[in-house]
Amino acid sequence: MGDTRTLTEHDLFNSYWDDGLLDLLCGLAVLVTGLGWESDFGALAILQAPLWTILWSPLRHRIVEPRAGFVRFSQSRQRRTTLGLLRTLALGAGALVLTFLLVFVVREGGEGAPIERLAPALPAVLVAIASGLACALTGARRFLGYSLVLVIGAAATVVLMRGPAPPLALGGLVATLSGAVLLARFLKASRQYQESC
Amino acid sequence: MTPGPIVPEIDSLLHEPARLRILALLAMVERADFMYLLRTTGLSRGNLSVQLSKLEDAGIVNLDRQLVGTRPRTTYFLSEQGVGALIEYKRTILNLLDPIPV
Repeated sequence: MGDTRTLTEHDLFNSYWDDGLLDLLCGLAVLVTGLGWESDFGALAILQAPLWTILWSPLRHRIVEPRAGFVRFSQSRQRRTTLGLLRTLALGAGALVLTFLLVFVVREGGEGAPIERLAPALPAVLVAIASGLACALTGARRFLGYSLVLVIGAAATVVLMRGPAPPLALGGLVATLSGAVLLARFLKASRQYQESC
Repeated sequence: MTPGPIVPEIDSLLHEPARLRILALLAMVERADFMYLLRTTGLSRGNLSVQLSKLEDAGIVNLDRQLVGTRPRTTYFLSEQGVGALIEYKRTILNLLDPIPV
């Protein structure tokens, strides 16, 4: 009997992200933002976040490509990916601007201002939306899981009247650990594959 | 020469299972290197190397050698001839199989 599996370009593109490197770097960006916020850096901690994403390409070239190989997808796929990345970056920039605005509004607003209660949740919610966009971009459903953790953390921070840092740190930690596990599995599987060849 | 219509000839270069897997993969991407083809087709190194040579010799697949930083990178992609041959092959097979009830 023949092999009845099908393979599409969509399947190939989805598997391109299975190494976990993107999860690890984005997770670290959000985790460090959350931890930095609690420290003396405050909202400025978000400024380090883009540095982690810049590392993705050189690390992929150095760690993943020697093991998984190099592929360039079709022009239309590349265009869709670029557009998706720009949208995600725009959302991240929006989160940055909103964060600073919120810090200003919360400082200037009076006691009991409604936005003061919800403001701490907004950075995590925006990062959750960006994670959802990453899911749409990569096809990796685990990004929706990260979004869920961030949204739950955001809700908890409103209820418990904590700041924006804990949900970011929690969401970042989950993504970082998930990425680390995926990368470790990828490296182990690659090693076993090389030994079997 | 037999009278009347005959069953169309199938391109034997494309109609080999390993080569067809390589071509099906290259049809889905713009280009890929040997390691990616190896991992995704599941072929052995030797078999993949032999089949790629045959496809390259026939002008179906082209090679592109580049230097990325200090490391060389060789990628494979379908040539225009290869794209045409694959389209023709698909048309032939679909026409052949179309009468078969599913």
